[in-house]
Amino acid sequence: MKIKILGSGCPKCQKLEANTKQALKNLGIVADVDHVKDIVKIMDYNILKTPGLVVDGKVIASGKVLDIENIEKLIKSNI
Amino acid sequence: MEVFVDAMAEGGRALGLYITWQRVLGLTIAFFLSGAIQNFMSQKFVVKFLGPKSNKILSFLVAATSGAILSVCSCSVLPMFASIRKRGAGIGPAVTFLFAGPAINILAITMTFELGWDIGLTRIFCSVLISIIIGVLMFLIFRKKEKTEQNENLFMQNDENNIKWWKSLMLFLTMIAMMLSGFKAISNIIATSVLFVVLIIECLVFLKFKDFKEWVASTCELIKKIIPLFLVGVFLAGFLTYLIPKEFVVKVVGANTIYGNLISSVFGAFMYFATLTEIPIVQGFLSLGMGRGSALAMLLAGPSLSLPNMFVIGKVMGVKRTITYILLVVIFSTLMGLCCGAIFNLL
Repeated sequence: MKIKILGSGCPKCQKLEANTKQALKNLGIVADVDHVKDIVKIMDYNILKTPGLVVDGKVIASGKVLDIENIEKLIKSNI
Repeated sequence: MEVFVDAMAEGGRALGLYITWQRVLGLTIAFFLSGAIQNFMSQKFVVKFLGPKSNKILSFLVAATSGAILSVCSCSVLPMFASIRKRGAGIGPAVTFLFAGPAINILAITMTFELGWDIGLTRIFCSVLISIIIGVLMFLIFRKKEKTEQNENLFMQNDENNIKWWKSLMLFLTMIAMMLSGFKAISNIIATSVLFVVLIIECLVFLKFKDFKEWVASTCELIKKIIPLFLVGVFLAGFLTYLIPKEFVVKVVGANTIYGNLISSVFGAFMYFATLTEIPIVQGFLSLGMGRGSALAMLLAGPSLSLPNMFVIGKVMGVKRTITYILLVVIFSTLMGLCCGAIFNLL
């Protein structure tokens, strides 16, 4: 599973990254978590507002920092 | 060396003096208001107007004013700008948003009134006006060369359980009334306390505990993000005010000249101001004799641009457009500073 966090590095996207890592840990999933900070690359993913969460190439959330529970649900439904 | 130490001491002193009960209270309410806007306001309605199918005039107007509602985080301005430009309403409204987003935020606007009603009001008015002018001009200049991949879906947002609009409106009005009643000129502790009780009652009646908790959490995050740098800004203002000679400031930006306003906008454009820090710094310059028009020019060009930020914008819209944008910002900030400065002198 390849996970990407889309965001320019501000506290919000860092929080999303931290929450995502914790969610993965809780679910016992090992995955690559990559933080995409380059705005031109972020644009490729077709989101309106950062931060964004991408699982295996698909954008599953964008615009707000999700809590760990929500991230777990989303990841489970996207395995 | 000793001057440096004295300047540091001045910075510390400025910091100490700055933290008054009034300011802390006013800022706290402003932060809660920002948090409330972030959590309770419907973004769906606003974002629709930035999409590809929206009425052109409306999208400019919405782009100019929605910064207060949409982009409370300064890092999300650029991705939104890029999306509005390529997939939404196009380069015009996108640029308007790019300028107005950082310029029109509740915290900055509230604090600007500390510098005076004249500067406070003109800052709001001119920011909106300039953002639209620059957006329209960029649209006119570049529209033929823009390649878009319009995507309407991106702008159809789904709001998750927002509270009813009239409930959030009442909360907002109560908080705004609290801020006004706390103002130096009309400082009225009884009114503020009454409004505070009203606010508590509204919270108990309107909000579920979950909503309230999230509101407080958002507010605290905003505070954690903004206050540290703001305090550095206050310190820096005190530090610089001590070091920079008054005669120099008066000579360069004291009178309401084209040159003075231009210098101020260029300085504002290149200098990085973290959210809110432009206020104490401009305050410092004003105390050294800066003209009020030039102060406005700096406040207009300051928040939306900075040297590092110019490079990122360049990556998104290319060198030609970015340079045009920067020039337009500087020209119009200078112009507004000059005009308003003349008006201020008459007041």
